[in-house]
Amino acid sequence: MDIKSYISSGILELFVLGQLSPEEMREVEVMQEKHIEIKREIYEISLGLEKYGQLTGIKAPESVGTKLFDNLPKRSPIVQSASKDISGSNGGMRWNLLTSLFALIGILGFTLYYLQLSENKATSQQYESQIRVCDSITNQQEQQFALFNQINDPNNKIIDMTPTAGYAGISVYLHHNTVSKKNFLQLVNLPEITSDQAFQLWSLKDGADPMPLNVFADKNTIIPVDFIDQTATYAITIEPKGGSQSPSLDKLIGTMGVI
Amino acid sequence: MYHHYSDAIYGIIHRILRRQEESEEVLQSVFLKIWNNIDSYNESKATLFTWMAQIARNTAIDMKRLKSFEMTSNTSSFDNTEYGMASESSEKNVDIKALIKNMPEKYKILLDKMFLEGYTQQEISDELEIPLGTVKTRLRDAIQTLRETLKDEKHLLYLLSLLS
Repeated sequence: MDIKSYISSGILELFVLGQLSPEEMREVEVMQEKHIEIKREIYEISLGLEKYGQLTGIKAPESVGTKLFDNLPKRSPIVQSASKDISGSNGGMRWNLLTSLFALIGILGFTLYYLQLSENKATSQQYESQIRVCDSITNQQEQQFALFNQINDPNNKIIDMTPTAGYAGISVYLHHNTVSKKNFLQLVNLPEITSDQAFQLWSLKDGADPMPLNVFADKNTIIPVDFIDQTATYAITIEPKGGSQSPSLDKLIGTMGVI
Repeated sequence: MYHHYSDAIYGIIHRILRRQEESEEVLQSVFLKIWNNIDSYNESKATLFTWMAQIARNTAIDMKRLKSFEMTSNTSSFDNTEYGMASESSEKNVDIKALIKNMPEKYKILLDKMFLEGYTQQEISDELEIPLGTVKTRLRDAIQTLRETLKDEKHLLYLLSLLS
């Protein structure tokens, strides 16, 4: 099946809006499990609509929230059934005994109620905290998608770093885009450094001194780095933490020619 | 969760019911449903918000049927609605008016009717007098335009997150 045609058919938008038949819904669910592009498209559509929903939102009256939170904790069923039993079976008891019993049940009921209330509050706080974690994960995912989109830009040229002698086996890729004028470093395998050292990127141009660029200590990740016009070669060295103004050539890890 | 999503959910409900009292009642009912059914939420099928929005639309439409509200089909009411009233945080604080203004009217109507008010394709086709196939393609175009508009904001946020 042509995935692009499937995506552009409009079926995914209707899926997100819940407007497909049960069979069609199942079909899209299967398709999104099989094809990551479809899953990503569904996520992007959902995100767009969520943003639209938020932008066109109307301030909810505060009273609704207050009422809602008041109604969330439920009275303990134990208390209710206990009350019923007592009221139904003590008709013949003396008034003072009855009063004492009701008072006792009242105190017990209130105690249980407040215990339940605090338990519910704790659960609610826990739940809110989990929601915050989810939101944070969503934000991270959004950032990763943005990065993913940039890395997959068809105008990107992927340049494999040529390691210098002594750094064989070191692997770094430069994703170089002369259209958007953006650079990303994919750090696959870098040498070990001490806590007072860092890696530094340099821009080398013919007839000019090396220009110090980004300083980093990351490994096994993708990071955005500076794009400098007319650079002939980018190079990475190991420098003291914080970076240097001129490169330590004895610690040159490798170079990436872009011209 | 309530504080994060209530304004957007209330926006959906209010557009369907158009009456404050019933909208408030449904808003409370929707969040109670969400609270009680959170275990049935399946993240592989929908994002949390689209799942909640679906519950909100269905509940509000049920209420509308129950109360037999008059259908307010006047599309010009779009401009009179208090869009973005709820937006307070910096993330939400994009130029909402510009966003709304820059989108073609035919897309805004479609997004409002289908996403916020729960119209089916057939209802849209009947009301706007356009073929069913056009509804589908126009909906995709509308969401694509929306995504393009929001893309710049997302990239800006990404850039800021890298700088922070």
